[in-house]
Amino acid sequence: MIPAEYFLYLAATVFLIALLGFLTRKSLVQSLMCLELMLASVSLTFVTFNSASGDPTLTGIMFALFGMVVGAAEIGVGLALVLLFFRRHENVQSDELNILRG
Amino acid sequence: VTDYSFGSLALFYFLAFTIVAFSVLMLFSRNFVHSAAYLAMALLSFSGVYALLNATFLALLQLFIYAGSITVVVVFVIMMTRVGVSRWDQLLQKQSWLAVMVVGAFSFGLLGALRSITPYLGPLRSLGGTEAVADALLTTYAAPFEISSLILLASLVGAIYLAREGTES
Repeated sequence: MIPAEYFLYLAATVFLIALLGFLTRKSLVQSLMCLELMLASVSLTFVTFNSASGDPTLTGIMFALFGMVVGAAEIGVGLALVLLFFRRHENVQSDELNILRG
Repeated sequence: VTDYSFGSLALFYFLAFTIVAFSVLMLFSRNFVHSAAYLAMALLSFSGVYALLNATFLALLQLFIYAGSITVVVVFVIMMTRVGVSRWDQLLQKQSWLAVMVVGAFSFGLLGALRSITPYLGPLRSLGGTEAVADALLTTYAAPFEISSLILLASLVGAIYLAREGTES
């Protein structure tokens, strides 16, 4: 049988890879893609904790489920914002977001 | 209590390898469309991991929502924004070395947390079949379930409002 921590280590690895991508990439689209990957790995952690603690009320699975809903909403609005940004700047580089720079 | 045989451990290693490999490929690909395809493959493998945990409903949702619709939306936006292959100095932030250091420090913290929590983890149990999820969703979690539909509606309206062909400036 698979020990529970294997799933946690897998989720942590993917989270770190996606975090690295999120922090280093300039493109807003790729940042959002990395964000989705981070969200998926956190969901995996929730489900693993639920299975490992044997919680019959399924708290972890419900967290993952509603996290998926929020993730779907977030990617929709986020990509709409990227499109809006593209119309104004003709690219999707996040370092062009400097209006508030002093 | 589910008894996982050796076969499923081998399956776990296979899925873990594909997830990590496709995530790294996504990180190191300069072509946006390629990187969207790698993301789809990684999320597809995530669905397999959920199935391995016997969370069948979540596995299906992962397949439909993440590997299906979100990838399609991402590819749409990549095509609408007309940005293809670009050079590495256009792709990476100038302070990338700082990001690498932050992630390195964060990984040590995460490793410590995982090590300290490992002794408290019980054996994996089979929870989250479709019937159990439906039961919980329509009794205990009925109110969040309804609110989540409101969130989706609000984000739908917001996305349409933001992305429509604007008449102002």
